Amino acid sequence: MADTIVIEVARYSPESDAEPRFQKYEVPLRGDWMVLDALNYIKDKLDGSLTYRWSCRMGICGSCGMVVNGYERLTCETLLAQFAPGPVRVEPLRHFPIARDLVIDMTDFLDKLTRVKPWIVRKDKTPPAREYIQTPEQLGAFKQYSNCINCMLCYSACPVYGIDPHFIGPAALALAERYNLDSRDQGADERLDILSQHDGIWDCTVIGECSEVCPKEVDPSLAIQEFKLTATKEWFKSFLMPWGGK
Amino acid sequence: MASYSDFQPREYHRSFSNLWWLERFNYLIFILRELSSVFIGYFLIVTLWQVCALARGPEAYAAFQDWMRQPLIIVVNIIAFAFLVLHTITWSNLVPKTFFPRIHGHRVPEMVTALPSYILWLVASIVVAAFILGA
Repeated sequence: MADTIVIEVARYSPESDAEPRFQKYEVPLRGDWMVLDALNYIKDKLDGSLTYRWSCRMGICGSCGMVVNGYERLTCETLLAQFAPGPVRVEPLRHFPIARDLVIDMTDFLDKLTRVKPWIVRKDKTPPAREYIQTPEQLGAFKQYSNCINCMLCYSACPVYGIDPHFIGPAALALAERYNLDSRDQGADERLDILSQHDGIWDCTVIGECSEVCPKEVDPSLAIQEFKLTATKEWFKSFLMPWGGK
Repeated sequence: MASYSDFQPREYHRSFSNLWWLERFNYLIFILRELSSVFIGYFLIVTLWQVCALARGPEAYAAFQDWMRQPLIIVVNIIAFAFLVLHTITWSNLVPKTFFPRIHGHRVPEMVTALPSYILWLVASIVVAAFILGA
């Protein structure tokens, strides 16, 4: 195995570049290095101007999501050596505006996340005297979706979001479903009004790539299809029993 | 869009390629899966025509058969059949992605929900094959 590997990093400086360009760096090829380690090496030893996000380095914070050789990955858990002899191409997540180098502007995602109310909604005004009881079965109903770390890899892999930026998107929809399935939550009808609009669940064409790239096996595609079924049932219920209310 | 200033960064907005579906194998399969519906429609029309010809009598059915024996139609039918198989496989594989019964909070394995489609396909194929070969 060679001692070094070439990394082609997408660079974009809003002050001087009209569009992104690629810059090559030669970094040591170490068997225990992740792609993020190579970026940190570049930042520390070769070019201090390289800009990217990272934090925990253990696949929890969801900050270091990038497109590595064409596929969305958390760079902190992507082994560099698997791309030998190289080169390795590192780009920012797709579909989002690029702020600088590998940093994207995530405002749109955060807005959409807020819209779906990803928190426990209660109708009662006063807080309970003790915690809400939940059985392991009730926890099992939504636990998979609660593993989402908001890394946005699914947005980058979703062509629907690329074509229609109004689409609420996989992670926000999965988190909405996470709270809908939570036995403590009472906000499903509030979310239904938001999610059953055209730019909500019905925009999804079941390409499934969001679930393929998800580093936490959340399976956002499944959450969306699950919610489609719920929305359809609710529509039939309101159609057959218009007097029943929600 | 506002021009760059110290307090308003000039972000770069990428364009979305019309050839996005060539970028990944999964995207390509998705597009082919959607396209396969056109060939399902084609086969439906051909089958309806065949049934109508059958109802009109031997001469009409012979004319239908002559038309179907044209080399161009045979090529079209081979392509349509390939899409038909792709359609059946991809949509059968999608069943577990859209139908997911839970037992005690746990999802039923994908195989359990996908298998009935394949069994139905196999049984239907055997019935049709038996009908054609027996005739």
